[in-house]
Amino acid sequence: MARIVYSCPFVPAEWIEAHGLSACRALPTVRCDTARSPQAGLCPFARSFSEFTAGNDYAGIVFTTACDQMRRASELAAMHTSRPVFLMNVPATTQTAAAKRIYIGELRRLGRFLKTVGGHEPDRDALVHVILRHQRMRDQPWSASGDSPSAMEMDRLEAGPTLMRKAGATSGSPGTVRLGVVGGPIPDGSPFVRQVARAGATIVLDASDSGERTRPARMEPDRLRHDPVAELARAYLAISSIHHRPNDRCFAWLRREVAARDVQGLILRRYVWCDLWHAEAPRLAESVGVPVLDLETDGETDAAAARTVSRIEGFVEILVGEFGATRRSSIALVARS
Amino acid sequence: MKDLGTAAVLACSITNVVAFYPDGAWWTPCIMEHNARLLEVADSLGVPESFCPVRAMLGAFVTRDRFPIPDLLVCGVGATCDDFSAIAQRLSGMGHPIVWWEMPHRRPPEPGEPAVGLPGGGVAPTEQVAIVEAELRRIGQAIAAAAGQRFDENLIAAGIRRGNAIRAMLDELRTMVFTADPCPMPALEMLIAEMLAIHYCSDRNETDQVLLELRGEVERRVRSGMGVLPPDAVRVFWVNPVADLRVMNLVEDVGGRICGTDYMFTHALDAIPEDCPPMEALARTALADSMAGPVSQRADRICRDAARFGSQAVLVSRIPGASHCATEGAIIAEIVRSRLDLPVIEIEVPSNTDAIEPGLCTRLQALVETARGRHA
Ligand code: SF4
Ligand code: SF4
Repeated sequence: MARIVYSCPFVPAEWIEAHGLSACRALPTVRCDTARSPQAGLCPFARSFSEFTAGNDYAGIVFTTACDQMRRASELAAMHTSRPVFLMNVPATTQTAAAKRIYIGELRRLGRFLKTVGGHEPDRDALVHVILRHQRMRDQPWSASGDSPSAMEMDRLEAGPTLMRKAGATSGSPGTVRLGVVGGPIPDGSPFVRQVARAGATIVLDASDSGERTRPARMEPDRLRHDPVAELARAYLAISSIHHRPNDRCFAWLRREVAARDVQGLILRRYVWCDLWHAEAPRLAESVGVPVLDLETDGETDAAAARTVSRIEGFVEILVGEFGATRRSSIALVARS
Repeated sequence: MKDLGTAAVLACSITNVVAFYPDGAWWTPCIMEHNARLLEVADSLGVPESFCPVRAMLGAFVTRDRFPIPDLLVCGVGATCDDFSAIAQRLSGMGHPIVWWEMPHRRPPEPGEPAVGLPGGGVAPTEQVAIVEAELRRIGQAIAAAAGQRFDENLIAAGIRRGNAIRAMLDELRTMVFTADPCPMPALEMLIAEMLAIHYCSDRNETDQVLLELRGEVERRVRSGMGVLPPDAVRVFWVNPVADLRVMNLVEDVGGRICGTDYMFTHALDAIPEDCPPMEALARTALADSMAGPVSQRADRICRDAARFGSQAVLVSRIPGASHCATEGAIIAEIVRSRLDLPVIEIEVPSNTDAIEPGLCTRLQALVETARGRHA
């Protein structure tokens, strides 16, 4: 089956599959080696995604306008690959009639693009079936699903609780510092979870752009049967995103989940040159109710890893002092990891 | 905020409203020789130099000594830079309410899809024009409500005619200055004249007067063969504004002159359509924004204008931190080189060029000499 690659959570995997194509959400490793020094001004994740997709055998590549970096990277990618590139307009406003009209219009346009790369017109019943199948996968409690095929498929397709599963934790090992992470997408091969574990903490909330915050809302069965495309759009437009204007919904989501999961500290893991997350660091620190570590990254290098580990360790140490979590339990986690 | 030119025409058409773009604080550090300390304030708010100079606007909202805080803030978002979007969101988070409006990325029409022509020569799908038209109407109603007025599209039509008179004057001025030899008006004065088109510096009558005087002066100089630069100055097309305005003088100091510009607001210079309903006309103008569409289309326009004004070289001025600058320069350069076979360079101009001035001069000189060598 021809594969369509994307990274933005606003691209519905259900829509691609209903067109008879395979949806692949790519979160490629962001490498930063000396031979390829970071390009001034270019987000390393946007660059990695463009390079990764251009170098692999996909039937089509979908970028979105959720950030200017990706919008512009799409044009650069189109110049350097023979594969069809599609740029999907994802609105920045959410409550306006324009936002709904744009998003639904873009779904239909994406559908026409998918047909040019091997897809077929989606049958209404098949679309509802695919949407409900995804919904069931999302409904499975992640801790129970473990490495089941559907859980792994979920991780492949859209925001799953990948980080926590990788950490091998359920709801945070007792006695360890409970951390949340927010910010840009965390690549599949990222050592971030290991780094956190080494520092003596557990990720209990993945609110990054590749995490659970970016899951669509639950589909309403009646509305779904009545108009599946409109319902799909409603569910995806309900995602809380930092790019939204205003983005209060994203902050409200964070505050709620930080409290609900008893998060003790939040790591803002943002890519260098990512303005959308960078500008919000002070506001995050003021509003989420727990200490925030602002961690800038430009990719995975040994030097960057050492820096990251020591910063997380320092953060955890402060939290241990503040919350009374013992160093002993942290050491125990290191021994286990 | 952000749309540079369109919302201002709308606002100025409504009785008892003065339009003003706080975006202009971009230049405050340069104009105030960094005494306003706006960048330092932005630094202290966690918005450092990885953002473009528009971060000075954030500082200005905090110090409140650069401009009065507007009664209503409206901001275009969507196909805009991350820098502005992020900083405007910070303003909102700091308690300045903003009415946001959606500006979609201008996409090429699909085969067979209804489309309309845009000012400046582009096209956009009719569907996108309708979306932006509805958004601008929403904004117009919000502005009218804030001013205690009724939203009246007849007034908008009158405002468009008034705006077009200014744009026409500016077009005549640019054409005369960019095509006359010797150059009758320096680059810096022309940059400021172009900026008047964005929001008339909040005074339409004064803008009329300034442009009339400038045009009269240029006509006199052209008639008498007077110029401000030597006749053999190399004709440079300039892309993007410079945060340190002195750089516009540097290019003239090394033997160049500006013949053609794209300071990121060409849509504020083109005539607004008058053959369609006023709100649709404004929507077409907003969608003509060169920053809202693909860079390749921006490069098309640069090529057309460079050919029109007989440019001999193209200079892309990179804005430090700007989210569009990491990728656009390479695309523009590739397209310009392949279509026009002109020398192209990309330079970076920070808010203060003191430390890099010798290096900048060398690069500008190299461009001027290369262009001169090709046309010798
Ligand atoms: S990390 Fe930031 S700049 Fe990079 S792609 Fe994501 S939102 Fe855009
Ligand atoms: S200079 Fe560029 S990045 Fe900065 S506000 Fe203007 S368009 Fe945005």
